[in-house]
Amino acid sequence: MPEKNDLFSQTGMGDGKVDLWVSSSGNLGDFANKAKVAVTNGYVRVTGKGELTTYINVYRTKIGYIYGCLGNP
Amino acid sequence: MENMIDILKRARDKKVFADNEFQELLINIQLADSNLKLDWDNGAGEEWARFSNQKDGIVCMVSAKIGVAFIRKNYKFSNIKSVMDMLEIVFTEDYCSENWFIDLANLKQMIPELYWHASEGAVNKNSFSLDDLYFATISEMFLI
Repeated sequence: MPEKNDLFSQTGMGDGKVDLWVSSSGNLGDFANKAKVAVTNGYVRVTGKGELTTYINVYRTKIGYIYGCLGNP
Repeated sequence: MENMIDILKRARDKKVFADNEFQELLINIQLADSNLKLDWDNGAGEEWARFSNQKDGIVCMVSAKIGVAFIRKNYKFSNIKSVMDMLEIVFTEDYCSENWFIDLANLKQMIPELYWHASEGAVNKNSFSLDDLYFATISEMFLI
């Protein structure tokens, strides 16, 4: 399983190479505050559905705080 | 500035979702307006679902636990009004204006369905937006 502190480097989010933040189509005024990240080298954890997942949902505020949760594709 | 607790209390008094009621609501909303695109990761335990359309962006943010929906003012709400009558509806200009405040002790006591995970540094409880509310209460299943 990927180490938590390697999460962003493994996904490319830390160096800004990957555009993952989802923006609301049609409204540039909406802040893109959610990203869905696929982990490619193993499962992350079991979700509430009882299934192993390779996805992490990442949320952010406008001032740069982030929060991560298990996700589904 | 508006008190978010007042809204959430009214919402909770109106509706606490049970079983698959929330999923059924989401289906009905999409049936009522086929232009809406749903953003909700149920398996991740997301506490908020959002709908957007091409024209306006996000137009609806609805709680998965209690009966509250924040609707963008310039969205044609009549499209989905009939399927949302049981909810507390709050119309908003946008989701980014910091128009709200909340007492977290009251939230914990009165609205146990919502869990506020954000630190004071991340979200200012005395001045926050609906985007901030989304961030602060989106899920308990945190990793980082």
